[in-house]
Amino acid sequence: MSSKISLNQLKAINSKYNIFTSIRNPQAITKVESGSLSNTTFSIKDNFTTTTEPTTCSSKILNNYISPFDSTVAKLLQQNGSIMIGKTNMDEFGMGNSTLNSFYGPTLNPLYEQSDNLVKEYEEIKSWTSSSNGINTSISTTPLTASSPNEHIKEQTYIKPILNNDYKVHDGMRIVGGSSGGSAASVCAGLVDFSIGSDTGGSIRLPSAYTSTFGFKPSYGRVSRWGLVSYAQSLDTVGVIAKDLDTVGKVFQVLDMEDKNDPTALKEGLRSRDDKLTSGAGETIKIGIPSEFNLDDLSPVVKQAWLKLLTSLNDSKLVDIYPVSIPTIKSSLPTYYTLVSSEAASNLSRYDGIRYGFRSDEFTGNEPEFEKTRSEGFGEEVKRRIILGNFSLSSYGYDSNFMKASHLRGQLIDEFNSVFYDRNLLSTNTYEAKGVDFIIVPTAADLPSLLKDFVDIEPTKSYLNDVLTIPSSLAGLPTLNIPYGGKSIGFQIMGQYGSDYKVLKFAEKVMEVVKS
Amino acid sequence: MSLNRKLKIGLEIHTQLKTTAKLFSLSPNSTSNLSTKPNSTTSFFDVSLPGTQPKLNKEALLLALKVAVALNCNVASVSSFDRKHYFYGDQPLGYQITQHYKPIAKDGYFKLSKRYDNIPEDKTIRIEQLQIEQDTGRSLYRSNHSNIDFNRSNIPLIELVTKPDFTSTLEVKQFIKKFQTTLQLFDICTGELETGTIRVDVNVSVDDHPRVEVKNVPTTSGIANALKYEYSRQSKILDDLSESDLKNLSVETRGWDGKTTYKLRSKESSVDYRYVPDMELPLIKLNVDEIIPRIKDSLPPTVDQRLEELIGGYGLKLRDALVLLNDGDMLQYYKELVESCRSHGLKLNPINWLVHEMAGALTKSGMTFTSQLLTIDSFVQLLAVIENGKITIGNGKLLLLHLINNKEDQVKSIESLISEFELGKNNDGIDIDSIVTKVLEENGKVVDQIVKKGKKGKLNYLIGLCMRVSEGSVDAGVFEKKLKEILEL
Repeated sequence: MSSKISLNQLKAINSKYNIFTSIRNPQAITKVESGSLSNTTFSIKDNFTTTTEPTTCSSKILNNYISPFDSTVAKLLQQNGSIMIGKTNMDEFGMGNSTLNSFYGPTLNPLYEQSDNLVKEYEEIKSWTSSSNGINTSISTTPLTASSPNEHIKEQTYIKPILNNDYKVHDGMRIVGGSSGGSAASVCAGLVDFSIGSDTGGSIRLPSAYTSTFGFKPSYGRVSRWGLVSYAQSLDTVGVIAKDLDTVGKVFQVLDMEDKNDPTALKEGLRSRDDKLTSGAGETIKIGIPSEFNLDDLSPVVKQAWLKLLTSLNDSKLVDIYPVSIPTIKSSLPTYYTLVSSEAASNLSRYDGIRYGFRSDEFTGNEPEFEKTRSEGFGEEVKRRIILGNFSLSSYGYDSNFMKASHLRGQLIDEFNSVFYDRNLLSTNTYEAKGVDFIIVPTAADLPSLLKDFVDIEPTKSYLNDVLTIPSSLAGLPTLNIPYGGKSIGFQIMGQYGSDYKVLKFAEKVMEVVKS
Repeated sequence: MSLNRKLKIGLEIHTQLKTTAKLFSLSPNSTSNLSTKPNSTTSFFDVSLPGTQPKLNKEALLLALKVAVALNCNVASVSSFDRKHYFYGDQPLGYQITQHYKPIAKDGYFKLSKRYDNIPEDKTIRIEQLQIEQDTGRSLYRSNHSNIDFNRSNIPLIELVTKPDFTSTLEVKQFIKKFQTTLQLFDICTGELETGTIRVDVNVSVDDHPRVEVKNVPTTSGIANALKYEYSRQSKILDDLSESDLKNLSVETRGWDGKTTYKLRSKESSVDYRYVPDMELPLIKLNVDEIIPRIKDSLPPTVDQRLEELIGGYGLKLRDALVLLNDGDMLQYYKELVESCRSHGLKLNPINWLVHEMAGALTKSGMTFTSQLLTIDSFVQLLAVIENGKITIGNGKLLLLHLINNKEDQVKSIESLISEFELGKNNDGIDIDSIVTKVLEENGKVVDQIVKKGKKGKLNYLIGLCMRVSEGSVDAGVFEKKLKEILEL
């Protein structure tokens, strides 16, 4: 499953689609020969910390910020033999579904033609790490000298794409989706075997659908968030994008372990690895179709593909299909945006320019320096969500917005629990073993927008693109995007909380059916 | 100005917990140690690097539960952490992790009494709540910039909020002292105000008008002075206001500069902290019925129990008992000393000799007390010759000073030292008669005043002169008797 391409080939493709925020210098790569992922390559979204290159979240406020520690995910993958190629572009701090909201320019969709180069050149940038024995590690963008014999100075370089001031995007170019757009694009363009993304409200599944790849968002807490820069950590999950299910499964197995550093990690005792698809022998798999997902503005092309998928599954005798209802899905969009912006406003309050990252170095008698720093360091969408979030958390909005949204989220989870056959591992409510095994719904309501149309769309209207992916994020459910129905169309397979292996197993069966 | 107005005071006390590691990270807790190199005990979480997460330190939880037990609080079976948002250079997360909605403990009390706390009436101070929270970094202000030391960042704190039950400055002082001593005895906190391991904010209300909060007063005497200042300041304002103006008074926060309080902010400029439950820290779930009795059993005796042992059991004055309570080493030494005195059949209580005479001798010698300074055996021998009248009290003090400064002489018997230094009372070589005769001869005028003019008080002057000639080796009573005999008084 290995894809090996030269640095020059990678640069050539990246120059057109602007996929990477930084590329690892081949000299900085240390190979581990053994491991279940040996001979594979991967990219990782630029909101996971790594020590060799910057971790920017595609934001000016973290421009050139190099973390002194590696995320658990990056560490595990490399320990298991996979080779890290670079960090991928994203919507700033995960806020968006297009990968256009980036300080480093847009990522384009490799499924569509692009002739002009967005990137004009590549710069090799040096940085220095000093680590003395113990907890203190410092990283500098100016040369360091050792101040004690215990101190080790390491010089390293990474390759940074530099954007053209002016470039032309092809008229037929469609958005790649987001926020893990760079991750999906790196897989789609064949630059890596798999990519690690984060998914808060659909950030892995939507770009997977738009790039016709597999994108898996595991159950909440299943993969360690240590080193993932928080956006909204009651929803943030870590997942995998790849061109084949086998790779998705192998990577997930490596990452599926409890991490003591992550307070929200699922306890080892609650990690079911059962992949038996039905409760009893000879029974068919039950598929639920929630009526609330059958939106009025579902495009005919997606609707037809959905129907075709369900028909062939039904004909194969693999599944029985049932209509189900999850009424609170109708409130999930405002619920999600209230919670996500509240958590983001809180999490992003640490970026004040004092300890790391961008600093304006300007202050007047009227405003403290951090105000200027934040107003220049954050992009428009980030600022919009911080303002929205702060309103929801203020004494005016707390009960009417934040608490109400929290309540609706609980209600939504209860409704999902009543629809699934399996028990929710975290639920203490009474439970009846009846219901469906999986839910199959579209990932996006339509084909990806043309880029030239999307740039003019109102922010709140763009939020509507998340309506199909948000419910499983709010409920923390394992959900996989499978490519089906044509270029840039995908469907989600959702299972009960904790049934990640069942979802992956069932997806294999579905792919067998649709291929035959 | 009327100073007869009703005073009501409530306290908010922040206490650093003496844990090995910080509240949500593994970096060392350097608490009161201000000599630690700035920014050397900080982990990635303490400076809020992107991608880090908090992990609750269970030791902090245990110490917090000890505080809850010490203050007789109801411990919650489920409590949780919240975020309190505000921007400040030394607040690295942009919020403080604290307990706002579901604190660890509530509804306690702490008793102050006439017998143990030197206040006029027994008093119970109710405790509203206890919450676990993070400390911030420390801003070090320079002329045109400030530096920040994050060593203090994320050190565990307990915030304790009392009901406004204090009605005098004395009660406040005694409460703080007793709370400090309790924390030290239970090994919860180093208990110093000066280094900031305990920080006190006071809320003052006069005649039930809106309260004024005075923040971060650094010492107990500062707190007393700030309270006195606020009482008279607010009383004066009330004297000058008309009925209608009184309605416009509102809550205010003030600072203390050592002499006066000054306005920090009023209600209009108060901060909306945007409290929200922390979304990644798990709830603290406790089996309270099982854990709390175990913590109670593990705790050493309380301040009141210890004072009762000393006052009731050893017959000490509160003042002396407090000296011993604040010095565990001296307390232990005292108990051994008493034991040894009894077994040697002595009747005197050695407390005065320990906390006053010995303390005096140590001050003169520039030393501080340790139990190694003087063997119990030596001390008891000394007390025995004093009780038996073999040497004068004055000479006893001299010998004590000598023993502390010449440890090698502690192995010699006291008797041999007395003879070596000729400290014996009224013995060979000293002729009382000739001393008295000589003094009388040389002071004819004074003798005249006493005998002819009846100024008997002048006799003391003559006694003093006799003492000086004998170099203190004879009791004053002996000279007095002799002088009276000769002068026929």
